[in-house]
Amino acid sequence: MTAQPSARTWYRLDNAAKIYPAIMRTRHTTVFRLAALMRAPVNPDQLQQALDLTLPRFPQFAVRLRKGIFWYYLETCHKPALVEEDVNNPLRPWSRADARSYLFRVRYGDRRIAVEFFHALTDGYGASVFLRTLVAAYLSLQGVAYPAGDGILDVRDAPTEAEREDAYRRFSNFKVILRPRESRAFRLQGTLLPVQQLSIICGICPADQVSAAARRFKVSVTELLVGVYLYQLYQIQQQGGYHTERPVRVSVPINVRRFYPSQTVRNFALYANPGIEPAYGSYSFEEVLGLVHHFMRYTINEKYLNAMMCANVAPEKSLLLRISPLPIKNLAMRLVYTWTGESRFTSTVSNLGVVNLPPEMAAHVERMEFMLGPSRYNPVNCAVIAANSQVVIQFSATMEETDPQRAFFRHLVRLGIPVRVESNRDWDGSGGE
Amino acid sequence: MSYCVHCGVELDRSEKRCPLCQTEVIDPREPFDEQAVRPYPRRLDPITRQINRRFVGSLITIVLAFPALLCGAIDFSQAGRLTWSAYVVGALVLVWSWTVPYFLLRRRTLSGVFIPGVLALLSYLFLIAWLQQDLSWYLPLALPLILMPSALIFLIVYLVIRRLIRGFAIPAAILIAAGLLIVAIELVLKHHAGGPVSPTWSLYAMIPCLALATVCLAIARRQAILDEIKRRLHL
Ligand SMILES: [Zn+2]
Repeated sequence: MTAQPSARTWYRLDNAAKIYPAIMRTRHTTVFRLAALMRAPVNPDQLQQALDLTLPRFPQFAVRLRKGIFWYYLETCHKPALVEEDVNNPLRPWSRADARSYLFRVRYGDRRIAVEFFHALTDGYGASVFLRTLVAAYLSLQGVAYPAGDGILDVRDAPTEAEREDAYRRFSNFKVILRPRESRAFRLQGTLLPVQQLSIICGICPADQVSAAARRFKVSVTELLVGVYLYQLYQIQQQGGYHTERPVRVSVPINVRRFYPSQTVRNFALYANPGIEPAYGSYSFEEVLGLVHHFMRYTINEKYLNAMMCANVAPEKSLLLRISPLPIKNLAMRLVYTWTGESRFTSTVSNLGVVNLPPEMAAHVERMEFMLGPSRYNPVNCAVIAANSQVVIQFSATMEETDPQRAFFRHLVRLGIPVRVESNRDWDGSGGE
Repeated sequence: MSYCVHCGVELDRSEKRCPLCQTEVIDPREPFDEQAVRPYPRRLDPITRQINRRFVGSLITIVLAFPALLCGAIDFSQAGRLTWSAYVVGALVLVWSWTVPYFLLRRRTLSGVFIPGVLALLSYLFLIAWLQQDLSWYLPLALPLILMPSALIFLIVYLVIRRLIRGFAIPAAILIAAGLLIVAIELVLKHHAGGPVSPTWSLYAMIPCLALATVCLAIARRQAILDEIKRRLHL
């Protein structure tokens, strides 16, 4: 047993996390998932042992969500955290019964170790630290040397306060408060799947080919993927009989850690929403890519991001909002989210970037996977992760039609990037299984 | 390895058709393998749709409580006690009792939603009568004029929900109830006015109601007539 280093039994939600409990619905799960596909079948007992070793290292995750008078808060939970079997429709929302337990799930499939996180706990980067630490602990139980460092925490170390700070509060400088004003965006429409179904389509590409293609256009990999997706969404809007000229916009989460010296494993991400205005005229792919490239370069710098961050933190400082009771806050946050949140973009592309795996682990891990939960209005979301020189692009959708996914992957193939496709969809096959 | 002839993407052996375009995989050398391990498990996680009615209930409560508290505070600060604001607060409580139980009750039964609403209405009228120091109209007029239609509505809705009456029996029941109600209202009014308690004008309304109800009942009895009407008048 590791000694409990601090007696903290509750945590405030960090700034970004505050909105998630308010907007959680059946279809808007605010859950995401990271997985490591191992080369050998997973041993559930050893995974359970590894989880028991890992969780004390992350006390900020060993919590459940509680309601205060003024805010939700996270309370240390002492229940045993159990690994669960993987399912065809992951990212189940936290129901009322679930809410009395942890806000993450660890699942094991055939060769897969997956963690699902409620977004109030952490962002994609924080989850990748947890998953890599968990996998490292799991492998160490199988006799593999434990490779700590560079995104992998040593489970024998004591947790530090710096890992659970609210970095938004620490780094907002309040020089300028910037709220980008955006109009409502084009929204994809299709046949909604039943609630218990989630359409997962996963494309696997060699990393060197993807970066070569990005280099050809002189853009980054994120910009290339966002550009391709945006262009194809625009094509669907123009040809899909939508009769609308609303802007096509894609929300791109940005990991802000590279601008600030924070070690936090909680949320520390902001968003940039590049898009095009079809009302202005027709766009070629190169034009869309250029717009995305320059928009991202304009947005993603320390000063601009800080101004945006201040806009998020500012309401939290206002006395009026702070003293209003939680139900009123929930209502206010829902309204704000309806006006400024999901309706302002057509879809999301979350690129976690290259996740570093030390050679000891890379020998046992085939690839990493990253998946976003279904959202309320936007039926298709896209998540990207790169590890072991493979780029894995996972689409999770609540829509029967696969037009955006098909258009996206075909475009990659046309750019000379080989794509291997997997999916969880066999319930719609003619096999009648 | 097989490729989708349509999309150009490589497909797993376990894929019978391309997940992107549903085109079937046709590769004579490497046909679809039924036994191949699927990339995702087949087991489904049961998901129950969360109904967030409580949220609507608390929202209505907040929206109603705010003006109620405000009026009460203004009134109290001016008069030193509650005067006119009692009407406002009472009306808001009435609206609350008509709406919120509908959202808060786990099982919305007819009696659970309807009876408190009627009681709230009676209480509000009693409050008005009491504030005006004039109870003379409450017992002889307000009480019967609210209880009678409420009881009839309750009865008919109950019968319909329980499927004890259906089809043309429903308009028949409504017509009978309306006819009886009109007579009852006249009797109550006359009793209050102090005249002779016997129905006069309400009979002219009741008789056509009952006649129409008889027709409806007859139709309800005769399935053949019903079918005929459906055939001629279907929309
Ligand atoms: Zn295809």
